Amino acid sequence: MTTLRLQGIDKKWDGFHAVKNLDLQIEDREFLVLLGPSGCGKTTTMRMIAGLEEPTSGDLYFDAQRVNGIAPRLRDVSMVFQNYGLYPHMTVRDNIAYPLKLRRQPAAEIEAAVQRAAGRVELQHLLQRRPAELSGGQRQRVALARSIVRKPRVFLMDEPLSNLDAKLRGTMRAELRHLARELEVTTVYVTHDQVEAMTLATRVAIMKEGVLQQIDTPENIYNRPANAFVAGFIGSPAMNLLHGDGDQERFLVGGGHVVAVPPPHAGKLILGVRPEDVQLAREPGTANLLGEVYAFELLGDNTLVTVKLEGQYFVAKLEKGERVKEGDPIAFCIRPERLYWFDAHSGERIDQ
Amino acid sequence: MSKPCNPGVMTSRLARIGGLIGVYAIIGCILLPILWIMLTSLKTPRDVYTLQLWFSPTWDNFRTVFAAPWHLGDKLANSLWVALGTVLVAIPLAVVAAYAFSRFRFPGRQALFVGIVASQFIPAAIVVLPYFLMFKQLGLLDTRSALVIVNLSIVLPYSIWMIKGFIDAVPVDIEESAMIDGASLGRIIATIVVPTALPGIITSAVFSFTLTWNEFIFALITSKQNAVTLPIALVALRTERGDLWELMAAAGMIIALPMFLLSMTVQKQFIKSLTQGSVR
Repeated sequence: MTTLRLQGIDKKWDGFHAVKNLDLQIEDREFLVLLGPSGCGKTTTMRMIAGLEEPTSGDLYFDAQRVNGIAPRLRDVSMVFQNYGLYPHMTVRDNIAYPLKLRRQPAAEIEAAVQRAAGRVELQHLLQRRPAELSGGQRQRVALARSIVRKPRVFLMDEPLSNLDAKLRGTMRAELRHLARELEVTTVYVTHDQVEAMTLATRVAIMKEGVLQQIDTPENIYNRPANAFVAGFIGSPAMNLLHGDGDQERFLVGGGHVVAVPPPHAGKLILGVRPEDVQLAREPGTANLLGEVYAFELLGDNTLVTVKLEGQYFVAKLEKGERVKEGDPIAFCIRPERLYWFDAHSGERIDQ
Repeated sequence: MSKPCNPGVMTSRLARIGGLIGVYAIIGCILLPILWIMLTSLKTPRDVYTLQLWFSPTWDNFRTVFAAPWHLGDKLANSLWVALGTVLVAIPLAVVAAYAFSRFRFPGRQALFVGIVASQFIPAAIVVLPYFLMFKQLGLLDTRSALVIVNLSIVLPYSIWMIKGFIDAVPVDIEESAMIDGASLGRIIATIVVPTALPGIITSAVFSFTLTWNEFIFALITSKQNAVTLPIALVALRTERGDLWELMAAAGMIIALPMFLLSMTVQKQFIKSLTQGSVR
C-alpha cells in the first residue's frame, strides 16, 4: 500500500549526469517498468528508490514520508538483483530466512514463511542446497523467494531475467506477472528488453540519457509514441524511421526515393512506419514505396524483407507464405493512417 | 644382434634419478637439523657431541628445562599469552580496517593504505629503541602487554593488507542485498563479509600467531624477567658453563610443537585460501 513519488530528482557523479530532473509518480499496487538502453539512468533511479544511492538533489517520497537520507534497511523495500545477490555461504533456506531473522521473528514463524515463499516459486525440495549448487533459473527463484518472504512496501527488480536463457525467461516472465498481481505490492522493474516491458507493465517509463521520455500504458506507448526515440525502441522489429524532406504531396528519402504519402508540412521530417503496417502492393496504383530487396529472412510465423533506401534500411514484416529473392524489385503499400511523423530536430511526434 | 637400446629412454631415466637425488639432497638439508634437534633433546649431555644414532633416550632434558632455574613453563605461558593476545586483538581490528579500505571512499585512503603496508618494511632493529624508551616512560617494560603492543605493530599491517584482498573479492551485490533485507553495517560485516572472507581471515590469524610466537628482537630488548618468551629462554641456555645443547634442543622442541600442531590442523584451510583467493 505505497505510492512512490520522485520530485525533481537529479543524480550526478563527477562529470556524469546520470538522472536529470526526474518527476515520477508510481501508484499504489502499480507495476511500473523503467525501460531504456544501458546508461539511461534506469538502474540509478531504482537504486535511489532502494536507498543504495542518494539523489544529488530532489525529493523522494513513500506516501507522505520523505525518505531521502533514510538507510535502505529502514525503507522496507525488497529487491531482486541482476546477479541475484545470494549469500554464498548460506543454504537456500537461510538465504530466504535472512530478512526475517534480522527482524527477530520467532523460529516457527520464520520456518512457515520460508516454506510458503519457497512453495510459491517451487523451491521446497532445494532448501538444503547452497547457491553454488543451483542452476541460474533456480538461483533466480531463490532471490525471488527471499524478496517475497516478507511483505515489503515496494518491490524492486533490477533486470532479474537478463541472465536466463530465452526459454526460461519466457516462463519466468509469466511467473513474475502472476506473482505481482497476487501479492498486490507496488513494483518497480528495470529492464532494457521492450518485450518484458510491454508484457509486464501496467505503465512503462522510457528513459534516455537520464531524461524521462514518456510514461504511459504499454498500449499508448506503442500506438502514440511521444518521440522518435520511443518509437524506435518499442516493437520487434523496431519502427522504421526514415529521414527525408517533405513537399506538398510526397516525402523524399535521401537523394530521390519517393514515398507517395502527403506529409504534414514541407521541410525536413522523420517518417515512422511499423514493419507490421506494411503490405505488398498487389494491384497497380496502390504502391507508395518502391525498392529492391536487400535481404529476406524467414522467421517462421512471418517473414522480414529489408529494403535499402539511399543508405537507410526499411524493414517490412510480411505473411509467412511470402517468398522474394534478394535483388528483386518490390512494391510496398503503407497504410497512410498508420504513419507517424516526427520533427527532424526535436524528434517530437507531430500530431495530425 | 639384439636391438640397440633406445638412447632417449636411457637419458630420461638418468635425468629422473639425478632429479630424485637432487630432491632428496634438498629435503635432507631441511630435515636433518630438525632430526638432529629431536635426537639431541633425548640425549644425555655426554652423548650430545657424538653423532651415533644408538643411545638410550631420556626425558630428563624436558624435566630439567621446566624446573628451576629455567622455568620454561612460565616462558611457555608468556609466549601463549602474547601470541594469543596479539591475534585476538589484531584480527578483529584488521577485519574492520580492511573492510573500510575495501569499501569506503575517503580522502587520503590510498596514501593511508600505502603507508600501512609500507610500515611492514621498516626493520625491527630501527624502531626497537624508540619502543624501549616509550615503554620505559609508561612503565610497561618487561610486561606481556608491551609485547602485545609491539607485535600488533608488526602483525596488523600485514593482516589488513591480506584480509583486504579477500574482502575485495566479496561481491558488493550481496552486501547491498543484505542492506535491503534489513541488516545494519555491523550485521553485514559479521554475517556476510566475515563468513565469505573466512579462509583469508584464518590464514592471516595463523600467520600472525606464527610471527608473534617466533618474534625475537623486541622480546629480547623489552623483557627481562617477567615477560620472557620462549625464543629468549632459548638464548638463556648459553651460559657461562658453555652452551647446553641438550637443553636447547628440548626447548626448541617445545617451541616447535605448537606450530607443528597448528599447521597440521589448519593446513587444509590454509591451502584452500591460497589456491582459491576469491569466493564465489
